[in-house]
Order: sequence, then C-alpha cells, then structure tokens
Amino acid sequence: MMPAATSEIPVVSLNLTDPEVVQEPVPKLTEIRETAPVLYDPDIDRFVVGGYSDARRCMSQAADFGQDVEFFEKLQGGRAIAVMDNPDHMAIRGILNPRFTPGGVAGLAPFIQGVIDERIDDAVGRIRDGAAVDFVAELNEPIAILTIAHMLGVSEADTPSFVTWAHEMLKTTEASVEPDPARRAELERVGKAATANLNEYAAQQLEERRRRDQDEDLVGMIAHSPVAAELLGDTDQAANVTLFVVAGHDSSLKMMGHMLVALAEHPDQRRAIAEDRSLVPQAIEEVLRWAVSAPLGAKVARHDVMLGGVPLREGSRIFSILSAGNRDPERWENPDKFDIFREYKNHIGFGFGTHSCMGANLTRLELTLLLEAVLDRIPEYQLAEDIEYGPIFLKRGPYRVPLAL
Amino acid sequence: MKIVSDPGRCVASGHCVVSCPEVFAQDDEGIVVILEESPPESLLEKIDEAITACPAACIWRED
Repeated sequence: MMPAATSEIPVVSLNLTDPEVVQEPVPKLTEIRETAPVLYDPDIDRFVVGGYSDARRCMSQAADFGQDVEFFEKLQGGRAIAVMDNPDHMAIRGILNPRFTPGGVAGLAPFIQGVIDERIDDAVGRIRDGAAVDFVAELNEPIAILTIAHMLGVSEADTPSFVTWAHEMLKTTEASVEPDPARRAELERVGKAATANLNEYAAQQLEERRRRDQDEDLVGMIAHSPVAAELLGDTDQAANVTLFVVAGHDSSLKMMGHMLVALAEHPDQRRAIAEDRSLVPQAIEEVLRWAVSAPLGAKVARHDVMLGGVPLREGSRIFSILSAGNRDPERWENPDKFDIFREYKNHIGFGFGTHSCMGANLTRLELTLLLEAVLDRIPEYQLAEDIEYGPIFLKRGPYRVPLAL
Repeated sequence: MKIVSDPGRCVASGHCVVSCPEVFAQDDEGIVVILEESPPESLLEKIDEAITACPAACIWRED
C-alpha cells in the first residue's frame, strides 16, 4: 500500500532525470527547502527532506528510520551492510572499519601517491604544451578504481575486468531513475550482469584467501572473520565485497571532479591554498559540503513517525537530500557561497550515523593527495570547457574535467 | 587519564559505543557522550580501541 501524501504535505517533482536539474541542482534544492520541511514526489513515491536537521535526523535516527532494503539489494545482489540493522550491521562493519579510520587509510598514502606520480607529470607536460587533458579519465578514475582494487587485493591481471564490471554495475543506479522502460530494462540487464560477475569473482577471491590463509586485504579480512562466517552466508559475504567496489570508487571519483571544478571557479581561494597548504584540510571539507556526489539518502519509516513536524506513516520511503541539507541557511551563512574560510561545522556530505560513509577518510586522503599534486605543478589551471554533470542526480559529478593553462 | 571529545566533529557512527560502552554513549542525535571522564585504568585497552575506531577522530585521551 502506498502511503499517500496528506493535505499537509506539499507535492514536488524532483525531476531527478531532468538534465537541467542534474546540471544545476541548486534552484531545485532551494525550492525544496523553502517550500516545506517534508514534501512528496508521486513520480518516485518518495517523501523528500531538504533541511539539514531533518535530513541528518532521518539519516541517523536508526530507531525510527531504517534502511531502504529494496533500493540497495537490487544493486548488491545480496545482503550487504547497507541493508543491515544493528547489532549485526556494526559487527560486520567493524571487521573492515580499522582500514577506513583516519589512521587506517594513512597507510594507503604511498600507493595513492604512486598512482598519481605515474600519471601526473605526463598529463601536466601535455597541458604545458598547450593541450587540454581530462583529469577524470587520466587521474581521478585511476586513483579511485586502482585504490579500491588494491584494498580488495585484486591482482594486476584481474584489474581490467574488475574495472569494467565496476563501471557497468553503476547502470543499476542509473536504471532506478530512468523513466523510459526500454532503456531502463537494458540498464538493469547490464548492471545485473556486472553485479553477478563481481559477486562470482568475489566468491572466488574469498575462497582463494582462505586457501592461501591470507587476511591482509579487505577480502582476506572478510574471508577469515568468524563474525562474518557466523552472520553471513557465502552469497552475502560476496555481496559485501561487491558493495565496496561501487561504493568504493564512484562517489570519491566524482568528488575529485567536483574539487577541481570548485577550485577553478574560485581562483583566489585556490591561490591561498597553493601558498598555504595548511588550508588543504578545510578546503576539502568545504568541497565536501558544497558538492555532494551521492546526494540522496534512502530511508524507510519503521513505524508511524513525525519528521519535520509532519506525520509519516510506517513504510514511507524517504529521500534525505544531503546536498540540500548542506546548503541550509539555518546552519551556514551564505550557504551557496563556496568559502574555505568558513568556521567548521559538520556537514552531511557523507551521510550521518551508523550507516555514514565508511569511505569518508579514504575520500579525504585521495582528494588531499590529488590536490597537493595539482597545486605543486599547475596551481593556475583553467577549465578548458563548460563542465557537464551527469548522468543522474543520484550519483552526480562532472563527466570530464579538462584542464588547460 | 581524562577522556575528551569534540562532539562537533562526531558523525554518530557508534563505533566508540561498540568498543567501550562503559565510557561512551550516544545522545538522542547519536552524538558522543562521555559517561566517565576519568575511567579506571582497567578500561584502557577498550578505550584505545574506541579512540582508534572513531571515523571522525574526535575522541582522545589526556593524561
């Protein structure tokens, strides 16, 4: 039974597949926040929350708001932590958490630096020769995908297939907001096949780590975890590996693009950072507030609950719009202004609560090393073309970021 | 030892509570609450586990 909007809840059309909304979402985000605390979009049967406090509450108050299992299970083909509740969820998350803490990711710095160093001087050389070089294809994608492959222990030989499947898995999320049925069916087919391939690969890898008695990488840690063995069957263990493939590269990849664009659009602040690298951490936090690559937090009301002063019925499916919350004027002054000198306040770019993004510190490290490398060499880079965002609002980032001088 | 936190950086992940529920709890919004500012030395290992596990690095201890 679909919970209907009451007369208290205004209707909105998010138009998540509208290229104009994907390209420039701020007017829609502002409209959402200024209309009412909670809205309803009948096209996608979702309640929509855009204010910081309500969005954050929806993301983190797990007693009232549960995971949208349908939303995630389609993507993962199994029971990954994204669909689990505590205490089991934290038990599984805890297995890999040590690798994702600030201290844990610090050990990856040499590897990530290596990926950058192998590529950046060639790219910058061509830029200095007058070319425009797309950093998404040449730096950001390799950083994102090779780092997660490395963390998972994917061999060099397996990396090309891994990369292909990782790309194709994203078609499932594209399908979820595709209105044309034929196109949606095709996207789902490609995405489902990729998930199946990755799950099969993950199952083989889990088995291989057990044979070799190796528990060094993320796959090995799951393979040898008594908690994982107790709580998850083989299929679900594989799904948890696969979760890290798509979650582990696409969002951070897009944030790298957002960062390069934001700083090109604010050259004075970029110059300040170039001249004083102690500003890098706060600059990155401002990028993470100002642009959100995974802006929709999907939740379901576990019971009848009040949200934003509005009663929602049990089963109501909700989108917390993280990018709207991050522009809330009740929390940030001039929220639509990119300003690295703001006083720090927690944002919801990584979600919040027990299901908050595990990759937050990895993303920060990737952004830091990329930014330092770019500022060391071409701090005055220009964007060589107008930036296009796509393909969908659900996972939003620049397609290409061609840099030139 | 004295346990200190910066609640403004807390992301309510709950890892500290899992590691050491004797010292760490969460308020209504999931933000860290320190139950025992000067806990017994016997809890040191669990406290350090909580400090290490925090994804926001927002808890620490001072002597």
